[in-house]
Amino acid sequence: MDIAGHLLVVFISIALVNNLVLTKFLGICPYLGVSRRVDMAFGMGCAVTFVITISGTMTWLINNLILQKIGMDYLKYIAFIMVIASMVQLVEMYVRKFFPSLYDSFGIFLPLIVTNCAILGTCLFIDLWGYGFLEAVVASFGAGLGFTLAICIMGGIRENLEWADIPQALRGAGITLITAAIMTLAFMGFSGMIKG
Amino acid sequence: MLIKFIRQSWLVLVSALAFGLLVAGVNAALEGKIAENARLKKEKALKTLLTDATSFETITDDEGNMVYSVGKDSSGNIAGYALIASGGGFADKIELLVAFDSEIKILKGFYVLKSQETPGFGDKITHESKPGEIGFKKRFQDRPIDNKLIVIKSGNPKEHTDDNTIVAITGATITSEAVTKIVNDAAIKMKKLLEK
Amino acid sequence: MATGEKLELKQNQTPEPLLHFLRGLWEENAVFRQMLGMCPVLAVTAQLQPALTMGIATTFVLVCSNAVVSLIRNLIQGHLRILMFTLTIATFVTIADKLLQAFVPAMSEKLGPYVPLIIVNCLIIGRAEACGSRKPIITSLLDALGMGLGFTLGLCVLGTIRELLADGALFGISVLPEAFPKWNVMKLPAGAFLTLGILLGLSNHFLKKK
Repeated sequence: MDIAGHLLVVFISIALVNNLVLTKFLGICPYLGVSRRVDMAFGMGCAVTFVITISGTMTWLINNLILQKIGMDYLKYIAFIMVIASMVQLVEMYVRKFFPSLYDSFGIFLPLIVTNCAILGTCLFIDLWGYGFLEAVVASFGAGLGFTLAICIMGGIRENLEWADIPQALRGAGITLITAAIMTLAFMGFSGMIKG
Repeated sequence: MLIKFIRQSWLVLVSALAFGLLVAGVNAALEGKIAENARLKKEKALKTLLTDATSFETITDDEGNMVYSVGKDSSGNIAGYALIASGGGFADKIELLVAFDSEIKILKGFYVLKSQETPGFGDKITHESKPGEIGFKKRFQDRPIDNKLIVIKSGNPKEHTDDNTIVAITGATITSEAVTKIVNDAAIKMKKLLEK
Repeated sequence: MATGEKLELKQNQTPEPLLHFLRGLWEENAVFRQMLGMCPVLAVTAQLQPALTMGIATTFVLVCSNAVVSLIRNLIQGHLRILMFTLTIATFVTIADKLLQAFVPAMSEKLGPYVPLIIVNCLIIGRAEACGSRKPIITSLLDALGMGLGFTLGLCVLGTIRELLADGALFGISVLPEAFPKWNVMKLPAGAFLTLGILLGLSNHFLKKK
């Protein structure tokens, strides 16, 4: 298969078939916490996509070009989380300084992202699958988009749920989880899309 | 400037060093045992497939990665060959250890090293057979592989034990086809490796 | 209920460290009350054994990192504190991961990347922030232990329900009769979300009204 086709497969595979939120349970906290309205969900999704692409690429470089070479991959997890934490900090400062309006719309989510398992999870899965550099870049971007898609759909559903008559005890987290359960069943339809 | 920097960050630097040493120490202490576990696991897999073999020899490439394994019986005759093969499954990559007899005419079976197939359907490729039933794994044991194996969607596994047809797992045709393709490809690859 | 009585008792004269310990077990239970650290709660609870292993590993990391953070709490610079927390947590997670690989390789394989993902479990960083960096070591230790055990309890409840309904088994051993119809959905991601959603609803319905 040619390179472009292969990268497309990698992209679809991580964005839809192996969607981080719905099949790997990554990034559940923001998925439940920040999905009350579509615009907030979208802001969070953008911030995550941004950071995930940068840190997925950075951690691949550090892991493959430094840690593996000097045989210190036992420091992998520490290095990964440090890269993510400093990336988030840098991105936050950069966006606040140069794009104040953008900062107002999604900047508030940035500090929360350090403990978003979707980011570290993507870096770990890329390492586990043994992806090459281009694949790693495409996969981390795809992972971010997959997260955005899942959280925006959830935001849309929850906006409408506000008008529904839900049993008192299930309001809030309960009904959100049950909605998520039905969404994962829907996303299972994407499995088997990619063969060979 | 430098003094200010050090006063701010000495704790981070000192503890990074201390933690680094701690992790390195733990790694050094446990490294041997972890490598031993991996070796034992592979040997166990080889033993379940090549039941006649008592010792195994691993042929590696220039970089030290396993190419294939040769199993020998107690009198030193070759009992069979095994190699690791992988391919895309329904959800994610499937990785198998596939074993053949000494002449690559009979398939001895496969052992699942990695699979993320749907629980309850595709993951039946990892299950052992119940008494009186021919499970999916068993359907591959002691098959002639001069011809490619092909998957049929329905049928009684008991009637297809020595031709080249494999009865698919109900509800998991794609997984069954993926496994069969990996096994077929592995047979071709193994033959090529031995011709060299 | 026994738990209810304990709660009332301790409000009078239980010493502070013990108070923290008990609070983590139920009143502020990470899974059912605070909804923290949801990824492992959903991801590893298809069976009881990985759920229990995950709970123990998380408790280990929580206790160690909370103790270390508490010991160095007076030295930490305010703006570098999150960095220090993550550094400490990542260290202990790496150690836990190596221990699992060495002594329970089968479980380590099953949990896969969810072991390193303990680093970003909001429960741990949350405790470091709320308790470790403020309270002396004994309180921090007991607080972490209580929270960790409460978290393990939550994981095990989910693991038990899901394994029982999906396989009719516990710890991989069949306990229900063959005739029991297996709920395949419980093994799927959907089963995780569904079970937790319904459990939360039930706990709200029966416990919150009092």
